[in-house]
Amino acid sequence: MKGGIRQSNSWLHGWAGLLLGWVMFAIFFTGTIAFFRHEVTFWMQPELHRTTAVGHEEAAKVAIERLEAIAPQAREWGVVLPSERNPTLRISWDDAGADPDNPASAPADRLLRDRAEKQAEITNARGGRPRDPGLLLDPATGDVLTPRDTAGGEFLYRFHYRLHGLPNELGRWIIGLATFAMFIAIISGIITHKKIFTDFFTFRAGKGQRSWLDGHNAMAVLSLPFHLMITFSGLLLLGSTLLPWSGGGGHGHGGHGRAGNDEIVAASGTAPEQDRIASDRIIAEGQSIWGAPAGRMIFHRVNGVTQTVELTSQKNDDLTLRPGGGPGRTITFDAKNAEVVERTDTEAENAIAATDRTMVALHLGRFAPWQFRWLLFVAGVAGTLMIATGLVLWSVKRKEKRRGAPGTVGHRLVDSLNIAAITGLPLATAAYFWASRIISAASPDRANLEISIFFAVWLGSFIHALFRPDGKAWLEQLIASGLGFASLAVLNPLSGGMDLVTATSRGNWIVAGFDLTVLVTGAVFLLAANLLAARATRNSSAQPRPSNTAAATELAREAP
Amino acid sequence: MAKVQTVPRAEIISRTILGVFGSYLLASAALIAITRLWPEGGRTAVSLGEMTGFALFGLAAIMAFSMRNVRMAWLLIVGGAAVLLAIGFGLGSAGGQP
Repeated sequence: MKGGIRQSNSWLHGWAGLLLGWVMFAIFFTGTIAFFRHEVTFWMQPELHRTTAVGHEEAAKVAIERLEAIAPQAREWGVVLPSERNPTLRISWDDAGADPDNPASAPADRLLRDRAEKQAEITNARGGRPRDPGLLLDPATGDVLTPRDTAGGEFLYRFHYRLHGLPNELGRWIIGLATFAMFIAIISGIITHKKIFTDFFTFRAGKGQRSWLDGHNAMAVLSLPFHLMITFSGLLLLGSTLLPWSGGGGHGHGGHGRAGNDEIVAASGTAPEQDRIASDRIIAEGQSIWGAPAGRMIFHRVNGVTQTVELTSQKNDDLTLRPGGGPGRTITFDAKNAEVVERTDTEAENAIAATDRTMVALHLGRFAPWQFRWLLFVAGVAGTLMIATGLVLWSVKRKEKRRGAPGTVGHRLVDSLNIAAITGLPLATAAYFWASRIISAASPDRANLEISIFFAVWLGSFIHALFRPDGKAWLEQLIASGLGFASLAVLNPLSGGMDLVTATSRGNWIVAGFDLTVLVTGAVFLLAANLLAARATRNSSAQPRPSNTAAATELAREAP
Repeated sequence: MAKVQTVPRAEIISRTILGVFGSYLLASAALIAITRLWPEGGRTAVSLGEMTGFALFGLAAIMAFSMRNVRMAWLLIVGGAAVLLAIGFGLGSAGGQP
């Protein structure tokens, strides 16, 4: 550390950035993918690729008919309507208190119910918010879809804020420490950086340390507001863990109070539910009140008859609505005549809550229309590259200082960790996507197997980096990642998914978007490998002379 | 080029301890003081406390490494935390002011 404000902050920036840099890289990498976690999960289940969305009214009818056949006595039904992020129709039920041997169910439906309940147990055992047993339906035909079990985008999403296989609080603390470090690294980085905007337009290619610095600065400045927002809101999201002095509260995605409608006299009837429930009018009414699409319906039922329907918006249309735990607009309707019983909008009650919520909402991006979601994704990529270039810069700086002398054990370790993070994690992720397709769809416990493959490949990349010379390890892992990603677009149609051409022509942008993204990602990795290889040959052909001259100077100096 | 003097190791350690633990102490103190002083406490107080706390954390960590006078940095950060805690516990109550 040296005197002077800029120098001391440069020192701080280097160390705060390095010590938890690899964790930050992993958070940014997986977190960036998590902006598309539903789409990623959808891609990982090729059984769903051919589903086509239908109108909400039609889908709701299909759902009610199915639910009445499968769980006629349930005290609650849930329906997630098709959306642009997931065209399937999800139905679920809460059978608590119902007669398990309901005579009304046909054997086929009872089989479906038992299977769904068993699957729910397995999924809930993996953690996350517990879910009622349910089924996915093709909204157009009402057919039950049986997608393979997958850890999906959900795994990468959960990894980015609590890692994996650690007690919840410990995982959140490690992420929190990295977030603190990131926050400090960003502020000290800004202070260090004298000419923040003029430097943004500077790029000195092929100049070693200077090029890495320019790249690092460009990535940092390009989306500086995003970096500040995502880091500060990340701290807020972990607030109850990092500053546990407020006695609960916090941003937990806790359950919301259920509207109590106990006073309402239970309606009864013999007509089938799909005729009794005014679902068309409920959806139309809700959507016209909000001016936003409906997303979910919860049917509150007594003795097998639906009394009220709780309609929830598809996503938040306002940054100050409660950002977590489901969209923040709900209307409860009388099931039969579609009259509004209760309306709840979880608007922030004051400016403080609004500020807090706006930041958290921007972080989660759940409100975002697809254009904004891509913007967040691109900013996330810039952040990931900023961390990667920063980590490499730390290494390159010390290498240039050493002037060809072998690095210390610490330097070697930093190099290997850099490789394992920057190319190893993408490689592990590509392998994870591959795993979703090559593990047999019927294989028991396949979701955990996907996760095991992810970590095995990641560990393998670290070992590879430890034992291979630096340049070779970078090159080989860049090539492997590039091929790993690009080939996913080929693997997709070969393993039951919809091919890129069909997906594009049918407007299936979830599948097409994934395939195009992995193709671009793969191409970028291969391009990087190409640049690295070209530089290596240039250096090795230019190597002898400078080192000879250096040796000659050394000799000349030592000569008496 | 300005003359560059190297900072002694003991000072680096002192600044690091202040930057890490002092900043955390200040952030915690801010949250506690705000939740205890805010009328009726509640979610709003926690929001304000966390936002202020994390912002102060960043400020304090930079101060710990940037201020020329280390003692002054210690005094401002740890002293600031002590004052916040004293006000919070002296004038406020758990769950906010009635």
